[in-house]
Amino acid sequence: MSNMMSTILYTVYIIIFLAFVVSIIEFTVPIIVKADFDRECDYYLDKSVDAGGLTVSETMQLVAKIEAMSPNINIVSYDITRSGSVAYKDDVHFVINATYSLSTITSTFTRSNKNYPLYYEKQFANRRIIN
Amino acid sequence: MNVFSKVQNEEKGNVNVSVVISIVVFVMIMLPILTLGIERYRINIIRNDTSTAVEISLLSSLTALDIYEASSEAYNFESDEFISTFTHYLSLNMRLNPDLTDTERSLVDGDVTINEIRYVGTDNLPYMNPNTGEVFVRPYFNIELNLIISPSIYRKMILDVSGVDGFHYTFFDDVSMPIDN
Repeated sequence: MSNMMSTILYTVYIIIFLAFVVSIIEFTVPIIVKADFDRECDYYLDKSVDAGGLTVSETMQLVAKIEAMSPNINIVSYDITRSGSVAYKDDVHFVINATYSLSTITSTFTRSNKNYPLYYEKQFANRRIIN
Repeated sequence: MNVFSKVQNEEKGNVNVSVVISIVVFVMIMLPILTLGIERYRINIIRNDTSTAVEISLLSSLTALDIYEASSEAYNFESDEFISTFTHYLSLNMRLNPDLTDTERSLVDGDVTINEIRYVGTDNLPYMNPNTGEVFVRPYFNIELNLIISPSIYRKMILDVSGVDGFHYTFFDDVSMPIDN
């Protein structure tokens, strides 16, 4: 009786513990993906600040790198000013809108895809003078 | 028979005690440590994003106001003109309302306040930021903002217990004067 009781208690405890670990992982993964997404965008933002925008090939590189981060990332839209296309002091836009889909537990035996927004928006005055 | 019953009762008691101890350790130690770790990581993300927003907003303000044409030593960086231009770009880059109140898409969970923008001239150069280790060899700015951040885990419970809308976080950053300026 005692062994059975202890088995039941430990089973319940392990189930609760595992459920907690899974929920923590499901909660943490989108935060880590967002940090990686921001880091990639920051790198290209620095280039954009120096050059007053990005070239078409740099924009494509950025899009490809974001998509390569995870097959679950879907780029919805982007608006990045092309370098040399805006005058000095005019605003340069750097906007990327993507989603990250993750299958999460919704109840005991069901999972469903949840979309997390990955949004990066910066705007700054162009410092580059084009002759 | 009596001995057997006694052993069985002791064993039963030990099992219950060990399960209770496991649950207490889990709830009282592991849970708060994990929660704090996740919150700290999230605050770092917000801090990095705010730092990027502050740097490009400052550069944009210097460019928009043509400050490089005048002597930066003579310019009053506490003037309304400079503060309002900086505020304009900061609101765009932190996805806030023009008066720095928060929106649904903003980086932080409450209003942002600019505590200080201080231009540091050529005194005390080179200067090393004690937090980041970054060395400044050109004039730089001290920027201090007040951010409001809410916890992401057990948000409602923590805020209800604390009786506040969010926790104040003082953001400091040093931004170097760009070479063009």
